[in-house]
Amino acid sequence: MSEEVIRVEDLRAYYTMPNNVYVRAVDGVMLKVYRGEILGIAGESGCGKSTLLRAMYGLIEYPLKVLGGSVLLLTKDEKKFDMTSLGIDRLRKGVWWRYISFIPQNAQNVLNPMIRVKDHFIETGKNLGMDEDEILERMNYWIDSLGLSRDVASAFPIQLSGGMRQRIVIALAALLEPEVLLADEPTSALDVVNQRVFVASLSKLHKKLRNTVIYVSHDLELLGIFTHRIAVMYAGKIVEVGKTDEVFEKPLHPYSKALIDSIPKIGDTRIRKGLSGRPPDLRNPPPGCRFYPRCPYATNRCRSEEPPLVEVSKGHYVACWLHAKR
Amino acid sequence: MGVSAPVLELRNVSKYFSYGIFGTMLFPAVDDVSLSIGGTPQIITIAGESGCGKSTLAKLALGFLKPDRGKVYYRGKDIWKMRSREKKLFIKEVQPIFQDPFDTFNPVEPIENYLRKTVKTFYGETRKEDIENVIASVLSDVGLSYDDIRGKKSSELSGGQLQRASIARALLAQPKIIIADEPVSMIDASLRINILNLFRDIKEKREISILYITHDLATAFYISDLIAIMFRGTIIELGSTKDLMEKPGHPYTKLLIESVPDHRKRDRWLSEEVEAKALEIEEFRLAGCKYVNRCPFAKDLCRANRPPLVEVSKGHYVACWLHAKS
Repeated sequence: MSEEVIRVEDLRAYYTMPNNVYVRAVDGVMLKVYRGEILGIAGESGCGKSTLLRAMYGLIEYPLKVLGGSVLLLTKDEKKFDMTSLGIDRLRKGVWWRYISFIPQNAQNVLNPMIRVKDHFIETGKNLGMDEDEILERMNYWIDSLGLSRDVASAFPIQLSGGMRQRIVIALAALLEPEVLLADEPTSALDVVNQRVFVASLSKLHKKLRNTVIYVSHDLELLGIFTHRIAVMYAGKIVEVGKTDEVFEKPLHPYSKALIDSIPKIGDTRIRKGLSGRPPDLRNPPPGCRFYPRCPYATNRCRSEEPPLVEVSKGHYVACWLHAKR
Repeated sequence: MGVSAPVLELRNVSKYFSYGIFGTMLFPAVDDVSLSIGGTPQIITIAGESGCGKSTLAKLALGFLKPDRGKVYYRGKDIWKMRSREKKLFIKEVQPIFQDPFDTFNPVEPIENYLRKTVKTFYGETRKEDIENVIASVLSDVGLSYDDIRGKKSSELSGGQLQRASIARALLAQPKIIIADEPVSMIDASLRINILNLFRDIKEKREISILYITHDLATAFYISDLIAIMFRGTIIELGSTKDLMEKPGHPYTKLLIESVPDHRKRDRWLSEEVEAKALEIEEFRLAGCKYVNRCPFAKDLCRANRPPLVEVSKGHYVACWLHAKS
């Protein structure tokens, strides 16, 4: 796990509002994603996690704008794609599906309900220059691999359950065996049993392809199950990155710790405590650390100076003055 | 038996919804459910996946929907045959809390106006000072101050603050029972636990019973005294939190509990094959056990006859032919 596949450098992706106001959804994010890993990006609503994922895919559409920094996709055949500046047309022609695929939120609703599942595959494959036999062969391979029955190929999406449609979207995303798979909260509309089936399918796919998966979720416990590393976001910034077990066992950032402590576990009825307050307004974020208004350890320095993301132990980074030296 | 008789009782309640092109076919969203709430203050959870009928059950209990079969009694009287004075008492004493707190309040009207109206209606207070005192005392119980809401509209509060305000509104009616349908599902994890703790306080300090409707088993196990698991319109298991955790009787209850994400149990969670079939309408219409198509223990008997809800140990009921005699 040392070869980089995605490098996010000082990325600033803002939403434009009237009167030259910006919502700083992703504000100075640095992140390296390694080939073959499953990386989870965790955070609560409005922290910028979905925006970061969109920027990695190069899906920059009004009102989203990239004001600084870059996202590089480094492929096995030694190509280098600057995802945020290539433009959607060029990405669609040569990068999307082939090198990187995207499973959106509410993935169960992206299939046209009146077009047979098979025809979704054929249309997508033909646009990418595949012939029909090859497409069907690969489709059947992924349908089998993901534990679906081959009958679903000739069904209309409307006849299938949400959980099944979601697995078809994974199969579709895997059609060209891309090096990177991005998933944006694909299970938030599913119940726990279907969620488990979906994540198990995704893990199977990862084992077969040995590709890179970046999975965004508000559910830290879910990410704890199948990711290798977790990045925690708060108010547009990454506040902690580390190996999954390390983040759970010794979270370094007070926010990560609060997030982990606030999740109840079956069989453990100890009284838990959550945070108070609310995240800052990203139109006008406070100076210094963005977590300080809610942080029990806040000092004067936290109010005025922004903590840098520093490596505390090997591969475990945190942006907090409790851990940074000056 | 509790100290006193149940306050709200659902007896063999069913509710049918229509489906199909002309809405000519019927399926039971709630199918012959009985449940008692009140007496000794307790938190009772109705848990199940989306489409299990739990929200319909909440609406039946609140009198928002009229049952097609069975009766809902409040203090021994059928709520659909009450005189207006009795109906007023029912409306005052059985208070709802909704999933989206932004739906509870009109977005253009200040929140305090709602609270004032509630006080005027239920307390008969008319002096501004008295009204504000009553409101301030309830707000402090839910972790808000009057200044937090003074002059503010719903859009000016966070989701967590607003849900607290809607709990305050319910408490101002001095209810005996609160029926909360997914009250924390739209609130971030770090704030969710505080609202759950608040429900526990309300039960203990104000002796109010709470019917908590949720898909989230981890939170159900955290605050409940009793848990009922619903599947396709029927209650398939009912028991104390301890009973369900230590010896779940129904195969579906076991699967649900095992499928709640827990990073410490990741190997088991990922390795076991679970198949989620979900031809929902068909399952609702099954004559026998509705879980039969998914159940690893299904026998002919299960297809032919609905298993009764039998008491397997004191206060622990399971509807499964593994536990019942035919």
